[in-house]
Amino acid sequence: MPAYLPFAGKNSIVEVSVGLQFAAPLDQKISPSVDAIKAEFAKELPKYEPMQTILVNVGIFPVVPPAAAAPSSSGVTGFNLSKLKNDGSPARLLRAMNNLLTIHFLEYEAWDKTKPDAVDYLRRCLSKLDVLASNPVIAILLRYMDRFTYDGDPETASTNGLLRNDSRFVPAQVINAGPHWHSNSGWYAPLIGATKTLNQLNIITGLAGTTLTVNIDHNSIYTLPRHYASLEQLFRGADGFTSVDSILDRQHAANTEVMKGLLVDELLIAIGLIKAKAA
Amino acid sequence: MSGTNYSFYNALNAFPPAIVHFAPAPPSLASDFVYLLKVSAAQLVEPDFAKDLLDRLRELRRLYATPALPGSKVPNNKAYEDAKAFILSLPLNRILQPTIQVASDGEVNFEWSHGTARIDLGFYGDGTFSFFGMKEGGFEIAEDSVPVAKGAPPRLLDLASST
Repeated sequence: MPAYLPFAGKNSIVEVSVGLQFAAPLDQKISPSVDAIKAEFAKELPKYEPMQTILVNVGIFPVVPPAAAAPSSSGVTGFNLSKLKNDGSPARLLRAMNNLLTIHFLEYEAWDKTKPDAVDYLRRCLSKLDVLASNPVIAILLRYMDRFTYDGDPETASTNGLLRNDSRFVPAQVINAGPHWHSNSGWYAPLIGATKTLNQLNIITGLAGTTLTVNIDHNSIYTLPRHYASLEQLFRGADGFTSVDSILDRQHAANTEVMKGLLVDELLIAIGLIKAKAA
Repeated sequence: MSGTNYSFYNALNAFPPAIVHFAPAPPSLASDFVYLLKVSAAQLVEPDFAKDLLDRLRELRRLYATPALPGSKVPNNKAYEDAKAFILSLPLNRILQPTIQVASDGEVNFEWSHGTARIDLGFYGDGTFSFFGMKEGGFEIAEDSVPVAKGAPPRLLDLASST
């Protein structure tokens, strides 16, 4: 009987991203710190790619001279630091760009292995960047991208064997409505105290070659009730702040609840979110 | 807030081709024209690791339904079922893909060969697997009759790691 499979054996997670959003772009602070950041991560994330901001003006007549198409900043305004797999694709990646500092894990294994690395990367990177006093953190971000493969004729696929028939995270119209459907939603839910988190849940089916795949993209954005302006506030919870470590744990738990409310038990067992009942 | 969230949503891909910010045009540029800006995305699509390997098992089952050589044996159904259960227990997003073959003695054989490392692992349909792995410099691992339900030991996964 055809069934949905986690795309990578016991793992369904394609990527986990952890990020900090700042009040303003980091651009001008990157250039003086980039050598120190490169050196800090030379062993773990050896591949370095600088980024530059380029301003593109689109107009129906040349209102600005051609020189305006040149980079708007002469220095490095962002970077990617990555560790590559043997095939040249990234296994993990640290990026500073615009007003975001993000870490992407493309070989996710488990939260208790990923979170410490994520928090450690953020702390070490920010200690070199030295921006918090003038450009505080305003939001914490956690995104999971899961993928399931239909192991059968795509035309016979439906939400059967994938989603709970009574799931409150998708509209009833997509349940058992054939192979092709999508569901895009967003809602606010309490995360810590009365402070709510924006959840974005985008589920899309599609053909990858002749294989039907389902991508589940859950994004949690916790807009901080107070801006974090020091490493101590962010990582040690000083001054009555909640540490980023604790916030990420809550966001992770919220993602787990979404998946439990979405997927059938067989898949939750397959990806290790629940245990199989003893026979 | 929607603006910043949208920016985040665009940015939080591992491979963003570009970040495009839209801002209101100054009055001097106001017109009825609509600009369509297309930015092609260099989308990286990971293979369907598990299904690709299960497809390979199905292919072998079809190709070797009967013995190919005099005196050879084809793998029994249980050997294929054990191999399938093993595939579904692997963290295929962080190890290299094995090559799967069948041997003339009825073994379903998995082989990893990359750089200086090599692993040979087989199923005969008794609910267990055996493996031998080596790496240049004398590093060797081996174990016989590992229950399939136990899955691959960590040292085997480390040797098959994609990084």
